Amino acid sequence: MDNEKKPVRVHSKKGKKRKETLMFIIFVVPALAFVLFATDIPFVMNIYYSVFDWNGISKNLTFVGLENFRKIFTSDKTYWTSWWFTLRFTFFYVIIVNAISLAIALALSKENRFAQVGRAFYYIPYIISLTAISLIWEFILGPAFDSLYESTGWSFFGMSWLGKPNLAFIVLVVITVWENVGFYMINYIAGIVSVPRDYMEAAKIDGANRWKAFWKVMFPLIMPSVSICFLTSLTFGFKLFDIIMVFTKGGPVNSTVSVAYNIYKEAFTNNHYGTATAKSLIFVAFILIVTGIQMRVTKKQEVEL
Amino acid sequence: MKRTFATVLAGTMAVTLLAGCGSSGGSTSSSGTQSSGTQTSGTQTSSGSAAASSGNVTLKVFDAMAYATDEYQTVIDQFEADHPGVTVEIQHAANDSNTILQSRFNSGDIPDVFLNEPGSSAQLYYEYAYDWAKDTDTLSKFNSDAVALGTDESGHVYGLPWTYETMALTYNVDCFNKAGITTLPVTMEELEQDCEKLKAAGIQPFAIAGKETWVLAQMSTHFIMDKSLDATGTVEGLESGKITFADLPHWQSFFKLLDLIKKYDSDKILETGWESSENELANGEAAIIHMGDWAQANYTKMNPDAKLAFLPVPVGDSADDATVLSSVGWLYMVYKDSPNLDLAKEFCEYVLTSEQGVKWMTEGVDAVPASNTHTEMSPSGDLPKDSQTYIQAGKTNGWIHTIAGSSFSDTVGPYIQGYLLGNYTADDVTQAFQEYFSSQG
Repeated sequence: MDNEKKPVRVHSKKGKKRKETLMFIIFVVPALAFVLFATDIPFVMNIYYSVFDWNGISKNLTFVGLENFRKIFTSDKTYWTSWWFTLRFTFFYVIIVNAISLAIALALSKENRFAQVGRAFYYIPYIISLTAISLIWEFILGPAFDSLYESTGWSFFGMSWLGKPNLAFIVLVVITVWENVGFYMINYIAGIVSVPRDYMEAAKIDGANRWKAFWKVMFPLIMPSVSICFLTSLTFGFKLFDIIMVFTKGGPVNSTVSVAYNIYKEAFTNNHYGTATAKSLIFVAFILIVTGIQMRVTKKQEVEL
Repeated sequence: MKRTFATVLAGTMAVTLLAGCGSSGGSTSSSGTQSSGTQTSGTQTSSGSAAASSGNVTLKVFDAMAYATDEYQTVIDQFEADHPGVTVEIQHAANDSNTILQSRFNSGDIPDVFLNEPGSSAQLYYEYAYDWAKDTDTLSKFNSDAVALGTDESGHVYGLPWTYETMALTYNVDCFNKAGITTLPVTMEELEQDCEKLKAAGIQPFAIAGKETWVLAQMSTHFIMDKSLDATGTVEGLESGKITFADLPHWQSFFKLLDLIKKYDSDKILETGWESSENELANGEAAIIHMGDWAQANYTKMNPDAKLAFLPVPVGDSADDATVLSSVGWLYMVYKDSPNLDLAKEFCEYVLTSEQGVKWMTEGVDAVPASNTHTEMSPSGDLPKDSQTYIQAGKTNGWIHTIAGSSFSDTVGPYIQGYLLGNYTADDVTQAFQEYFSSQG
């Protein structure tokens, strides 16, 4: 029996291994190849181009060493204003979008008809196409505000919302929060419903008020949701591009030029491809550092159930 | 069983993913005759309906504008009919054409014929472009001033000119009549008096597209222009440092105009986009904007009865100083290593000089062609006719913004916006312009 069984077992072990390798190839390799071709290889090429002076079209690349970086750090004012804008934007966006979506999630986490309708209501902006969003807001800030101003006379409606740098900044934060709040809300609801009800009940019995129960019991337990929402909102804020591209074009007076938009302009309008890749490398390094720190901080806060 | 199913599913998904990736380049060039009204935006592709027989040639054309695509399609159909077995595949990329063309070059999908604005944009592609210098028969079919825009210092001709485009202040004739303005202002002081008259008649004097940095930047070039040097001379002088903004004869008038705009335009000037600017002018809600005759088709669509005309920019003290700037909108360039070089050359010549092609440019696009083969046909719109008069009278000068480098509008435009908002002084703006030109040298 044993003599017969052994080879079979060895064979099955080998077979299992082979099967695992096969599974690996089938499942991981396509995705890996895709990421490699679409992200990693271009990234490495990026590093290569960043030391050249190249207009993006010509066959001739001139090696300039670190000249591109020197220029960025010494004489590119617009790039650094775009950093200032992006950091300010990210700061306000992350705080506001997370606070609002968490509040909404808490209100709508119960299973009833009202909550279901409410969730759909908040989620809709997230699935509307960007072009439609830009049209909607152009209408709101244009004709809609104009006629409201005529009928009410409130100066709030008469302000040049897209024509003044500070106001345009507020408009951008409002639009992006309005657009994305549904996404973060769903994430938070997923976290909230997974918290066992008895924990909250136990807290209540122990005499914790609702505020305390939320901060001391609920919040630590939904930390994985908080962590992922912070990460996505941080990267969204840093990478802000599309709404700028279709909505403000960086204006007025360059006040809404984000780093990503500045890099795009440098590469494709100014035709300084080398400088643009150098800028994007600085950008990538910064995002990696910030998100790394953020993950570390929030991971520490997570507790096991 | 379940696992096998999952494997198959995953495999299919991966394949679809890769397939989707592979075909993304081709998806922009679907075939079938697709056409739309004049000047559509976005990327759309149409290709000739013609021959599906074997052994045929496909000519790839990259079109950076989409003016009167119906009439354009007629030209292409005719070309295909004259050349059996030839299919013309056109990509109309009116929005973001620079980016799309660049990615087509980078990815090796180089079109046989491609369009660029003369000046800085076209120069990027000179090393890929066929040199027409020896094709004197072809070149003789074009006005020499227009050919010059695609010619480099050593006499190589890298592109054939399409139509003239002319820009200046544009005014609504009915508005001026209503306000009792009978002669065009030739100084800023007269312009201010006319603004008062317009205001008294209940018409908003200006509706400048302050949101668009390119409109503001184009407007500024009238004041940079030194007529004794023309466009090329002025730009070269500024870039080399031979002249500075302090030497420019009319530069300070620019701020007089901006002050007038601040006073007589809407409070939300930085929110006005080019479409609403054109719309307000065409419908007589505002009297003066800065734009070119390329907008004629839009004006006609917005208000078929609109009566419009150019107002030469009153930069100085007399009518002789006032500027109208004119150039060629696009250069047709041929890829020099194209396998269909001769066909591509023939295509350009056909589109730009044949009766059918000239008909497209004059009747469809409503513009003045740069070719001289069918001068009996001329555009019918107010502005192109107006610009033809100025061109023939020799009162136009070249464009500065297209030869001043590709980042001109993006760099100086925001400073002009800042001046209109009161964030920058005239000196700040002048310094920004000066630095821009010095950095180009």
